[in-house]
Amino acid sequence: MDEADGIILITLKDLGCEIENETIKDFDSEMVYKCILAYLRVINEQKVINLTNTLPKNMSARVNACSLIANIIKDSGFRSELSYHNLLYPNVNDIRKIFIFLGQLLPKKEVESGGVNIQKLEDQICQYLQGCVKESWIPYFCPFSKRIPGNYSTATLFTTTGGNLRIPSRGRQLKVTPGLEQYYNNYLEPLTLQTNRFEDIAPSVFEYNLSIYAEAQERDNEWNNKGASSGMNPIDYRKSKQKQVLSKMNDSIRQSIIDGGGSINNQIGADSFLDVIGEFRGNSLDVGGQFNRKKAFTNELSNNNNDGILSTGTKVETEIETEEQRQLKRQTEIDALQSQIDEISDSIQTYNKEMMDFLSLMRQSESENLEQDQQREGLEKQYKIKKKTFSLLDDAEGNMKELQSLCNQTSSNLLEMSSEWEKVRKPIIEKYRSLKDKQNNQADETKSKLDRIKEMRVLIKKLVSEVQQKDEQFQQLQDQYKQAPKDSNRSQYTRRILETVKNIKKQKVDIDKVLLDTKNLQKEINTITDTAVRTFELVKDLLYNDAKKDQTAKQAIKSFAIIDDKFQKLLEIINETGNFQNNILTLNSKIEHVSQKTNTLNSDRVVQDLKNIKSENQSLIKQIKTLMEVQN
Amino acid sequence: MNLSEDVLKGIETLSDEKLINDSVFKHIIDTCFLVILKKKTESDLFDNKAVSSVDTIALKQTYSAFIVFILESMKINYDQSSISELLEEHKLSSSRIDFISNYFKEYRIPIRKHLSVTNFHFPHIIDVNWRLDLFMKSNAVEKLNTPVYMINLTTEQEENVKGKVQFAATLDQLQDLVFKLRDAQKQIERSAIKS
Repeated sequence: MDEADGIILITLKDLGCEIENETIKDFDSEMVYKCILAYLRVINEQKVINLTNTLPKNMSARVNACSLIANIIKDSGFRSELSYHNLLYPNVNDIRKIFIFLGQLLPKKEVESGGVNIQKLEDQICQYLQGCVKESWIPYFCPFSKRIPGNYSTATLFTTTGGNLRIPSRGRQLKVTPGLEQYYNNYLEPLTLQTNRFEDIAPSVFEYNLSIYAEAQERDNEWNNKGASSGMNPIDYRKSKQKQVLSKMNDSIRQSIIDGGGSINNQIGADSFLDVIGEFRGNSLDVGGQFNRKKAFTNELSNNNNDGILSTGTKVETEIETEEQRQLKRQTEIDALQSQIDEISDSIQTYNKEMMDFLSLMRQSESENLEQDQQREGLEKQYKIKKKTFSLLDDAEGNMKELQSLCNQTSSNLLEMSSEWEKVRKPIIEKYRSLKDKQNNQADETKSKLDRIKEMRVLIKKLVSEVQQKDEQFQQLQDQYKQAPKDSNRSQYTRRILETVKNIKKQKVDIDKVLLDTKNLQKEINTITDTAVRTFELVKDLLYNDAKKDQTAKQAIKSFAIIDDKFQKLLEIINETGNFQNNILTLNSKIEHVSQKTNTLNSDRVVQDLKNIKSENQSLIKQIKTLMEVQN
Repeated sequence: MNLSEDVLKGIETLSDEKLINDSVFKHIIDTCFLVILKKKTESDLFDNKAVSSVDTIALKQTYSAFIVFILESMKINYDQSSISELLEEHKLSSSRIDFISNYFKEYRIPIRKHLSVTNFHFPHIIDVNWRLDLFMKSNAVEKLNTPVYMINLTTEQEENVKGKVQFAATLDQLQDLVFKLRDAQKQIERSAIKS
C-alpha cells in the first residue's frame, strides 16, 4: 500500500497541494478536504466553484461542504458508500480509495478542459517579459536600426482620413460601372500612394483589411442566421435587403419633410428619394447669397486695408486719398453692377414664374381639350344608336320577330358553347389541379431539403471546428510531449511495478520453502506415528505373552493401557492447542483490521463536535429571538 | 490571420502565371518589400520594361494586395512555414513561394521594426540630464533651504528627431518616482519568472 500512497502523494503535489505529512495515514480532515478539492478543481471546475479553499470553522458549513463534495464524487461514478462523515472523520482505506478513484478520472478530463491555449499565450507573455528584462540599455547615439526592435514610439497613429483605400480588380463591377476601368487604369494610385503620409500606410492598411473582413463576416453571419431560410440565393437576398433599406430611408425622409413644415416642400408629392435629394441640392445652391458673401468679404478686406494705411502717417496721405477715391469709385461701380445683377435676376425669376404659370395654364387647357373630346365621342355614339332605332320603328312587329329569332339563336348557341366549354374545361382543370399538387409537393420537398442543407451546414461547421481543434490539440500535445523530459512519474511507476514483481517472486520462493518444510514434517510425523503404533503392538504382544507367566506383567499391561490412553489425550490436546493458536492468529489480524478502521473514529472528537454544534445552535436561536424582538 | 476577400483575390491573381510571368512577379515582390522599407518608390513599379506588357489593373491589384499581405503577416509575426502554407492554399507555385519566403527571411526584422514605430506608446527615453538646485527663500518665507531636482529627459520622437520632457521634483517626489519605477521593474521580473 505504501507504493500506492507514494503515487497519490506525487499526483497531489502535481496538483499544487502543499503536503506536510509523509503518508496518507497522517492526513487529518483539513488535509483530506484540501486534496480532494484540488482533484475536483482539475476534474470539474464548475461544480466546486462555490467551495472555500479550507474547511470552514462553522460545523454546519463543514458538514454542508463535505456532503456536497461527497455527492460530487458519487455523481462522477464512485461505487462504494460515501457520505460526509467519511470525509470529516477520515480513515485511511476510504481516503485511499477515493484518491485512487479521482486519480483515474484525472487524465481524461485534463485533456478535455483544454486550457492549453491560454497556457501558450501565458508562455508567450512570459517570454516577452523575460526578453524585456534581459534587454540592455543602448545609448541613443547608436544607430536606430541596430537596436533591438522594441517600443520605440516615434510616430502617432493615423489612418487616412476620408479617402478609403482601394484595391482594383477586374470583374463584374468593371462592366457594370462605366468609366471605372478608365479610372482604375489611369488615375487610381497604387495602394502605398493612396495615403497622405508614408507613416500612415500600415495603420490604414490594417484598418482597411479589418473593416472589409469584418463586414464580410457579418454578412456571412446574417446569411447563415436569416438568409438561408428565406429560400433565395445570396445575391437576391442582398438585393432585397438593399431595397428594404432604401425604402425605409425614403419613408423616414419623407416623414421628416412633412413634419418640418412647408419651407422647402411645395411639392410633397415627390415620389422618390432621389427627387427629394435633388430638391435639397437645388435649394442649397443659392447663387445670389454666395455672391453677396464674397462681396462682404472683399469689403471687409478693403476696410481693414484702409484702417491700416490711415494710421501710418501724413506723408502718404495724398496717395492714400487717391487710393481711397479709387476704392470708392470701385465700390460705387460694384454697387451699381450689383444692383443691376439683382434687377436682372429678379426679372429672370419673375419671367420664370410667368413661364411656369403659362405652362400650367397650357396643361390645364390641354386636359380640358381631352375631356371634351371624350365627351364628344360618347355623344356621337348615342346619336348613332338613336338614329338606328328611329329607322327601325316603322316596321315594329316584323323587326320584333326578327329580334326574337335572333335572340333564340344566340341563346341556343350560347348553350352549345357552354357545353363545349365544359368539355374543354374539365381536363384543363384537372391538369391544373394535379400541377398545383405537384407544386405543393415540390415546395415541401424544397423546404425539407433546405432544412437538411441547414443541418448539414451546421454539421460541416462543427466538423471543421472539431478538426481544427483536434489539429491544434494534436500539435500542442506533440509539443508538450517533445518538451516533457520523459516523464519521471512513469519511470517511477515502472520501477515500482518491477520491484513489486520481484518481491512477489521472493515471497513465492519463501512460500514454496515453507510448504516443503510442512510436507517433510508431515512425513516425519507419519513415520513416527507408524513406528509408535508398531512398537505399541510389539510391546502389547510381549506383555500379553509375559502376562500368562508373571503377575507383575499384568500390572504392567494395565499401566501400559493407562499410559497409552494418556498419550492419546495428550496428542488431542496438542492438536487442539494448535488449532487454537491458529484461531488466535486469525482473530488478531482481524482485530488489527478493525482497529485500523475504527482508530480514526474517536468518540472524543465526535462528542466535541456535537458540543460545538449545540452551542452554535443555541447562538443561532438567540439570534433568531433577538431578530424577532426587533421585528416586534 | 484575417485577410479580406479582395486581398485574397489579389494574391490569387498573383499566382496566375499567364497573366503575370516570372520576371514581372519578381519585380512586383521586390518593389513591395522595398517600398515598405522606403528603399524604392512606387514609380519604380511601373518603370520596369517587363511590366509594360501587363494589364495595369492586375498590376495594381497584385501590388496592393501583396502590400496588405506583408503588413498583416508581419503585424502578428506570422512564422515562415505558416506563410508558405497560406500561399500554397492560394495556388502559388512552390518556386514562387520560395522566392517570397526568402524575402521574408531577409526583411522580417526591418519590417517589424518599421511597424513597431507606429503605436500608442509614450516616446522612448534615451537620455537623462539632471541638476540639483537649492531653493533658499521666497517672497513669503525668509528661509526655506529645500533641494529641488531639475530633470531633463531626452526622448526619441522619430529616428534622429529628439523630444524633451522637463520637470522639477522635490526630494520626496523624486524618491517616490524612483521607488515606483523599481516596483514596476520588480513586478515585470516577477511575472516573467512565474511559470
